[in-house]
Amino acid sequence: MINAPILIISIPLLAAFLTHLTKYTKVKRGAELVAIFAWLASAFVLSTTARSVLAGQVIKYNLGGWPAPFGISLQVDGLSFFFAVLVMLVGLLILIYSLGIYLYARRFYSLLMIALSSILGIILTRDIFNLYVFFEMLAVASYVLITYKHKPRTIIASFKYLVMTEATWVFFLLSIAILYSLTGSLNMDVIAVQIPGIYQANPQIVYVVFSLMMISFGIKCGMFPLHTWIPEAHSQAPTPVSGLLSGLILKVGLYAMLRIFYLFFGATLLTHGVGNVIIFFGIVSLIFASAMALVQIEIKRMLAYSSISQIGFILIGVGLGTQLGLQGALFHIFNHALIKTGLFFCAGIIISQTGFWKIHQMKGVWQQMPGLTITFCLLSLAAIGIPPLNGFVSKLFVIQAVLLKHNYLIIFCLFLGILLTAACYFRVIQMFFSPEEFHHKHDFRPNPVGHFEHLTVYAFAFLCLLIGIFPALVINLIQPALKVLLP
Amino acid sequence: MIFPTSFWPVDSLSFFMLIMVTMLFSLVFVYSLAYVKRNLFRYYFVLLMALLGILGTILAKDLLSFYICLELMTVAVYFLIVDNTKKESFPAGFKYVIMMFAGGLFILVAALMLYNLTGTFEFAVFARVAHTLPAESIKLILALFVIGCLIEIGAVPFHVWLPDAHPIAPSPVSALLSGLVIKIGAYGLIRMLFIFKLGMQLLIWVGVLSMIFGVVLAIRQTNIKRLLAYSSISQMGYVLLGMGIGTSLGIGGGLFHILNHATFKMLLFLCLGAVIYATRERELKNLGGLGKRMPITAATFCIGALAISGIPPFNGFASKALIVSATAGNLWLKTALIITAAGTTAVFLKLFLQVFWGELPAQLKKTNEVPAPMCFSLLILAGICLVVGLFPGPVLNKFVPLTGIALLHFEFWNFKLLVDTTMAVFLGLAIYFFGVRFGLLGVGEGRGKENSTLLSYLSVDKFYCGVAALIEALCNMLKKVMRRSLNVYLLWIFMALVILLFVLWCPLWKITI
Amino acid sequence: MIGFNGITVGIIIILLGLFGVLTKRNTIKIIMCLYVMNSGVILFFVSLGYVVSGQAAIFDHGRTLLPMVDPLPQAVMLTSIVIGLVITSLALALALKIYEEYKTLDVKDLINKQND
Repeated sequence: MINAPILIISIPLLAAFLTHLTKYTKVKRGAELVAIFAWLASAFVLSTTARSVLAGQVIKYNLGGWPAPFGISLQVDGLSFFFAVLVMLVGLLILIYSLGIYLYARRFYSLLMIALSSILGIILTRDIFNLYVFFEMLAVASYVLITYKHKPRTIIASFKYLVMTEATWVFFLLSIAILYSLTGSLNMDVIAVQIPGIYQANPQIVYVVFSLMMISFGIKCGMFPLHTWIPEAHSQAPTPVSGLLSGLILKVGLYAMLRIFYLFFGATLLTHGVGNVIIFFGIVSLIFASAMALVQIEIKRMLAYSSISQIGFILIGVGLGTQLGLQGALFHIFNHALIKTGLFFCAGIIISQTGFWKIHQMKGVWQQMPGLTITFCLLSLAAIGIPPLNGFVSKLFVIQAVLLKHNYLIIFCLFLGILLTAACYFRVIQMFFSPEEFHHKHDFRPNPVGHFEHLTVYAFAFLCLLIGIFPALVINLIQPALKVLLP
Repeated sequence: MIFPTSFWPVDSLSFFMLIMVTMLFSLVFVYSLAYVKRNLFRYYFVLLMALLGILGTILAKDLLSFYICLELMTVAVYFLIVDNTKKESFPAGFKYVIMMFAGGLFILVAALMLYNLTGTFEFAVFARVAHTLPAESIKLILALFVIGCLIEIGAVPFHVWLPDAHPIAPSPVSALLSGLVIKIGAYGLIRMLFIFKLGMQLLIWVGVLSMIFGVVLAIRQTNIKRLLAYSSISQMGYVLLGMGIGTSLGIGGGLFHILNHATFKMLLFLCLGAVIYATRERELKNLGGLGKRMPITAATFCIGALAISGIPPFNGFASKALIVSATAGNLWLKTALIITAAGTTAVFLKLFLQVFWGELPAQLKKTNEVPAPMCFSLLILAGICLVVGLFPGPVLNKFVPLTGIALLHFEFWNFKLLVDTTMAVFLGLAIYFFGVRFGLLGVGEGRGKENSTLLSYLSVDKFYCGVAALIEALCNMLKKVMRRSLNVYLLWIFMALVILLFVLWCPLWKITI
Repeated sequence: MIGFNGITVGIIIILLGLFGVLTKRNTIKIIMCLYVMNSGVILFFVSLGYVVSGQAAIFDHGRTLLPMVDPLPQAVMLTSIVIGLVITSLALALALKIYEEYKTLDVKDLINKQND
């Protein structure tokens, strides 16, 4: 389908507004139905492109019929397809998880669909300003989603996220302006062709653009000095939104980094060693965040810090820029989205069942919820990277890629990071198995947790196991993406 | 890079390990039938997973499969160690799992580096191309691999997890840990060292240190299972020493000792497990005189103790005889061996006398013999100890492809060995009586507090705990630093931008990482 | 490029806003400074497409008007202005909520309101 790209974005966006209209129908839980059907329809449209995209073709759509240098064009290529599949999968599971919670009404699904469709927009667009607009759309939707429960602490978290992100995204707009003044176009392909020439003439300006973009995408994906919004926002948000933030919004920042850096600076800066800078940020994030995760008191904050450390892991792969490093990074993006969303959901169920937020209060969870505890163990083993779970495969690729560079300092840091991660997860697991009698918080009535939540969590664990045993499933998706990144 | 993982009984070595593992594992199963009462589903599920991991490591045709199964085993054994979910079991399990992951990572990195050199993970190909590889990188790879395996074994500078994990685990699991889990590291070591024939000198040193440290630390212990754990460290020292010597006799002895140590240490653990099952006591001072109440346990324990002390005609004697002969007159090694044997004799004399001899405490009057499945396991293991000790030939036959035919012509009953053994036994008796006299053994009356400080330094536990505490303190400090107002966070963003610009403008980034 | 034109002024305004964001502790002031930064970028971007005494780029039956200003920055900045408005109003709403809840506008006071 030639107009598949626009349909993929617009169906969920349309559904976002339709959910409000269900107020006027008699259908029970109409908003949920609309959201899920729109999402499935969008996934179906994506699947029609699969054959040609996996064969290496590109499906291009110009908005309003304007060709490339003037109009906005949307495009499905290998990299977009890989990320779109990830978003479809995790998005569907997030929707199913939210189904079980009656608290979430039309407004929630509307915002969620806006966020998801803008994520798809980011992934498919080829216009750099359009990218900015979709990012802002996503940001606005997520600010509101974080404060969905109107608790005071969520508002502080959201405010912090807002100010930090917007202050940084002014710089992204600035870098767009500079690029426009240099190339006279906002289309990524047109800019990409001209950048080597500009680099020859005036490398300094390319450095400025690179730094501005690095900071802007860095704050989205949460690399080290820019991560400070993450723990607060992730731990305060409602559980499905935590999953969305950690599973998809961080990944979208990484997508933009991969796409734009490899397209714009692949031939100029990255081949000249700027990857080292990214690796440095990755290492610092990895060590720092896993150290912080070790001493967190709240389980969701711990998971949030662990997300940052996994992002550091991915950044190392991105910075290496080799075939294997990128393969590891992409694979880890996929795995981490599944693992961390699943972990957040597990934590969410446990919190809503016990009323406890803190790790040291969660004793005896095993007696009460054995299935959930096993799932949590599986997912956290996947996060540490224990075979035969999926985290192991991507860990293997990244370590192998670093080893091929013969850099033993990075290997040491990876070692430390993995061990610290293992320590922080086993801290939680041993608390779950602790003997103390399970008791609820004082005067706390546990929320009923339905089948949908459990189903989602088991699905995540199953996917982790499946991909760990058959990594070829994902590697086949990664190969076209790699062809796009490293032509 | 697609990784085929493949499993096959490669050669006589893995065949030998396979027989040993399946035989001993089934005994642990039988024992568990009576011993384990709670959480049956979880226990047996994890136990089978551990079996899967152990068998996988043995049957692995390539290094990556070896690593994968090793990690599987690690995780399964972690859940076995914390099985009784007591408060103390979690720190021990934590220590175990972190150490084992660290060891696994070393092995993984070594495997990947070998892959980069040879383009494969298969042992067979390594053996074919071993002589063509650059010596420098092979040394580095082997160093990493050996460190990894030594952590898995629990050899001396890395033995911190062993004495904590053993006492806290359920007794069949302790037997499994000592009998099979730590053998896997040794198995990996043999596999790789056979291929590259390097790094033997290091193993001798580590072996000797493990032997002496283990036995010295074991002497003072009063917790019965902790004592056995320290003794395991010492016995694995024998294995390492034998492999490090590298002659036909040495390797044969090391391999033979793997089997023998597995049987008698398992027997000892299961016996003490029976004692714990019957009495609910783990401290030496609360035990005594159980020989009359539990005759089968006492008799089989006696056999195990004789075997571990290297007294003929039990199997411990046979393998130790091989290793002693392999030292070929090196006086230092021989002295170390005899001291260790003497220490072991003293330790087990103490254990036997304190548990099964003497006066029965009042609260243990009603103790009865353990149920039949447990007795069955004990008797079978004791039988193996005796039969293998009397007829080592069939087992040694299995090693011939690895070590050469010289092993089969070894004369076990020669005069020199008997003299050495007698010397060791008498030295052991002397150590025991002097120890009791001066209160050095931690039992009976007397002083001996002052030497415990020295011993606590010998066990490197303090060092590792110090490192862990340091890391935690640093993390807490970091956490405090990170609690800032929004302005500071924004300042960090801006600083990151400025630093990035600075770094890019003065091309510091051109320093190739 | 140096001179008293839109580009320079735009950069100066961005830096002013940045200074405010980094130093002001009052939430409302921080939001104002964010908006100031945004305005600086808008000025910067629009100035890029500005041509001295240029006309609006409206094509009238094939007659081209020269000199003509670049229409793209203007179109793009219109979107950006809208986004800035949305963000600012949302931020103000959040600040109001925070004030209702904690009776404070000082971001430093908010540190202790969150758990560690």
